[in-house]
Amino acid sequence: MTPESIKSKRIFSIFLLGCLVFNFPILSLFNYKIFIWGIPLLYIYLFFVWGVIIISLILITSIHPKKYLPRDKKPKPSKQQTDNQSSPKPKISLHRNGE
Amino acid sequence: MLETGIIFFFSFGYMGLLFAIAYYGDRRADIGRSIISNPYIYALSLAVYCTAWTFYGSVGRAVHTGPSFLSIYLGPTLMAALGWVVLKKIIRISKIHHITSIADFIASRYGKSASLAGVVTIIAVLGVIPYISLQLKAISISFQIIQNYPDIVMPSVHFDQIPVLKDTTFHVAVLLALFAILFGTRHLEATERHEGLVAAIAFESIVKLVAFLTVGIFITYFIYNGFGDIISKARENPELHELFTVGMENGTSADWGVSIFLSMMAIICLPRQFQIGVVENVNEEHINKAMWLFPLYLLAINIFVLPAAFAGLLHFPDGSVDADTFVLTLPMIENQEGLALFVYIGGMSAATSMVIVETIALSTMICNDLVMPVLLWMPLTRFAQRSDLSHFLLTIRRAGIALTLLLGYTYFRFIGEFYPLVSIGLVSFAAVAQFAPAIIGGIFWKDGNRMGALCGLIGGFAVWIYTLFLPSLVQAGFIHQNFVLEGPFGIALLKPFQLFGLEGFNSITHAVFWSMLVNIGAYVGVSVFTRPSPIEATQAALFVDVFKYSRGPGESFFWRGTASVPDLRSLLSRFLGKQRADEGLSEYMNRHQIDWNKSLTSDAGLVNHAEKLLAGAIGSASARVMVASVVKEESLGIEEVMNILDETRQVIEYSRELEKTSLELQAANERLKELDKLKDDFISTVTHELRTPLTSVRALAEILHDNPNIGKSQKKQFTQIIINETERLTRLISKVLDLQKIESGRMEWQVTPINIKKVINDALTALSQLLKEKGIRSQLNLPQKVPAALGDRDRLFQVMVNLISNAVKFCEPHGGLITINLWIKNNYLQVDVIDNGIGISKENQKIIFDKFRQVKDTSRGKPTGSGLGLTITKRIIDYHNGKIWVESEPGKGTAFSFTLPIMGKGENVKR
Repeated sequence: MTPESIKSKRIFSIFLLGCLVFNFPILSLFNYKIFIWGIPLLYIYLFFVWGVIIISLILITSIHPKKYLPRDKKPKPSKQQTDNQSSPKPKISLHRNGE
Repeated sequence: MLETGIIFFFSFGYMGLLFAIAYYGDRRADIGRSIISNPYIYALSLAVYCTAWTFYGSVGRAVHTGPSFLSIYLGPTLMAALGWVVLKKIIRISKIHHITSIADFIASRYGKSASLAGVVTIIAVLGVIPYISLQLKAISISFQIIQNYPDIVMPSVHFDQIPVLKDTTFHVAVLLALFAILFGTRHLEATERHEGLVAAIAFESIVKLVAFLTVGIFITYFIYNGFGDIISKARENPELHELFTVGMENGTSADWGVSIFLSMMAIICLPRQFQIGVVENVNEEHINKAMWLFPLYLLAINIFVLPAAFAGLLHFPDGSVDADTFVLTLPMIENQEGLALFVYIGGMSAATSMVIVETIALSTMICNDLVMPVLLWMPLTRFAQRSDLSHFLLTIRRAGIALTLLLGYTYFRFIGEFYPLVSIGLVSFAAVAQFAPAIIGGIFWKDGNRMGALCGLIGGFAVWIYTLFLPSLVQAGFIHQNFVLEGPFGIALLKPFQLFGLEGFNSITHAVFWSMLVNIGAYVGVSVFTRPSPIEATQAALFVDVFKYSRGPGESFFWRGTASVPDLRSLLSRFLGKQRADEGLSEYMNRHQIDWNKSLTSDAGLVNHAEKLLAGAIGSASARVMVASVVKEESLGIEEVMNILDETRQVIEYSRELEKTSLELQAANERLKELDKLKDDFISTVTHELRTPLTSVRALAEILHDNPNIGKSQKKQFTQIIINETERLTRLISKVLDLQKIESGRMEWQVTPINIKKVINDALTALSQLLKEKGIRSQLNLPQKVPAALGDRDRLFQVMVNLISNAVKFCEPHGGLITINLWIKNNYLQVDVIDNGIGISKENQKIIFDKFRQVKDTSRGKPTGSGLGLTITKRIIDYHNGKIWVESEPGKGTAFSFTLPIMGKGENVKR
């Protein structure tokens, strides 16, 4: 699975979730004249969910695609480099033996 | 005191600033240093969504219906998230097909249909005109209110009583038209992008946001002590309690859902959103950031709507002041002169940005999709034969901009005043939402076809006219109100607000339900029951599978015809102007490394490229007609299209690939078998050759072992034979090893400059004993001086020995003559070894250099030698880049000749 398709799936699920929480009947759960910090519950709810959705979109889009790769497939260029530096001699001698 | 002059000064000053920004943006674009190519500008320009309706109307709607104003901004938030899937696809398609408007997009998707493009354009113009008039109304009202500062006077005069030339709204409309013409139609672009315009729009988005936030903060924290303070004061008034929640009537949840749906669709279906979001998009990666920046913008501009609404209601409890003007009248009543002016400018920025982009988008559609097809198909005008049409096209567009603004102004004067800001906006949303099934279906559903889209659009729009547009004429007094109250001709079932007795919803929800039912129903139904034409099927696949097909440079396989390059060139330069046409064509030709002057006939790719260039200027439907006029098209049959596009094509291709691979494998297998057989032959021959001497060695050794009394002389003879036979064995084995080494490339060659004359003499010396024994004479014809050749001395020595001993074998003992010639040719040396022996027949000459081929000679019994000598000789000569051949006539003798390149002249020895 590519990082792009994982990203698409996550974003699409945010969209579906948004459709759910921004509509009735979920809205009717908050459609009461209750006040939090003096502000009507429905407004608090809508702005809060709105903010949460925006933040999740920020998180999903800003994570670097490489982090989506499964662990074992992660490219490890740094490790390869150290391998080359630490043990170049046996490789060469092996080559000679082979010849 | 705000002088009218000061207001004018700021209004025109602001417009001047916009001009400056747009000019700067265009200049930067011209020198290739775009200022709009970043996601922040893209997101800000998307906020053209927020018009005067947002700026003034949100508060008005909050006052009338409470939280429901928010649904208009929640929809776009959801759509922005979906933008990753939908918008990105639309952008990719539009970039590949050079699509410049929503009409073009729909037309192109359904087979570049001109009729569809025309219908979409008409719907867009009729649907959006009220929306434009709403902006003009907002500018006009806000101007009249602020003009009376510090008094708050609602503009009560009917607009249609002011002479047009004295009406500020008219002046504003003219100024806006001027701006749109200057920056929207500077030149015909193949991509129809306007960098300066986008820069100005982004700037306007900043202005309106800052203005609204400033007035919001002023109201909330300077007039009152924060949100809690305003709301607790509002709670003291029981009449305002309804505004804390969404009403609990029957249809509320449906109304809410529909307005979220409409605002979602508006983000892609409104011509201005399509223009900014798709056509003006610089890089589709910008969606990445815009998908949260744009919702964030919407959230920010809505935070202070509720406090402003309550503050307005608390300040003007008697309802004397229109709630749509609260954001302006509140600073005025607090004597905040500067702030009021800033708010006025903010409202103007919201209105102007919308009007400018919308008119440009509409004018493109009017020009490409209404005027062009008519002109192209009118034979009388001979329009299509004109030489330069690019200026003419620009004139049409400019006229289009003027026309839309004029229509907007007319609507404003005669109908607009009867409506509050919000409902006009939603009526427009409902109209453009008719595009949604054709667009969304078009990019995800291949089977949607032209007929279906056409029926859906016309049906849906007809319902819209009946349920929303005609009732608005009733309100304006053009139609008798019985039409709404009792239904046409008194038929209650046909009442436009309660069609077929559907009740309990507001008029928008009602209209959206019926129009979408008809639209989607017709789109899907007709699509399922009719067959698409080949071009529709092609376009459908290209749109739906755009990410699959666009990995390449975006070439479509639709055109298979050819056209002459001069024809194409003149066609393009008629519409784009000579310079742009040449640029566009040479860009393609450079990319594909085609020589301008040499190739007179263009391939399908170039034709396709030309059509896309043209589509950018005049729309896909007209472009297709024009290109078809110069192209000798080999039309595609439906089967062919299906073959090209269907999944089966890939399967077929895949199986062909498999077939090819398996054939290759089969061939390789055959070769392996052949090699295997050769190897078997080789081994059996070698073992046979080994067994013959071994058998005699063993036999003689057994005789010696079993008969100790054997005579001394005989014993000596036997042991001599044993020694000879083992020597022969050794020679054979070392030859096999040599050959094997040469063939596997593991032979170590010691290449040095050598004197071939010396090698010949050495070989002859080494064999002199043999010659003497057999009584064979030798004759040497060697030149005095021989140029050096590069080679391996030992191997060439071996070659000479092989050839001479071979000659010895063929010669009759006593009387045989071996002649060795050395020739110095142009760039090589040639050595001949000639005997006067029995010769070799023609058939045998061909195979003599093969392994283990011994010339069987019945008259002489068992052949001597291994059969490998000549093979090795040939390999050695090959290695030295020489040639070896044989000439012979049976009974007369044989001549073996080989060549060696002279050092520094011919080809060098392989290293």
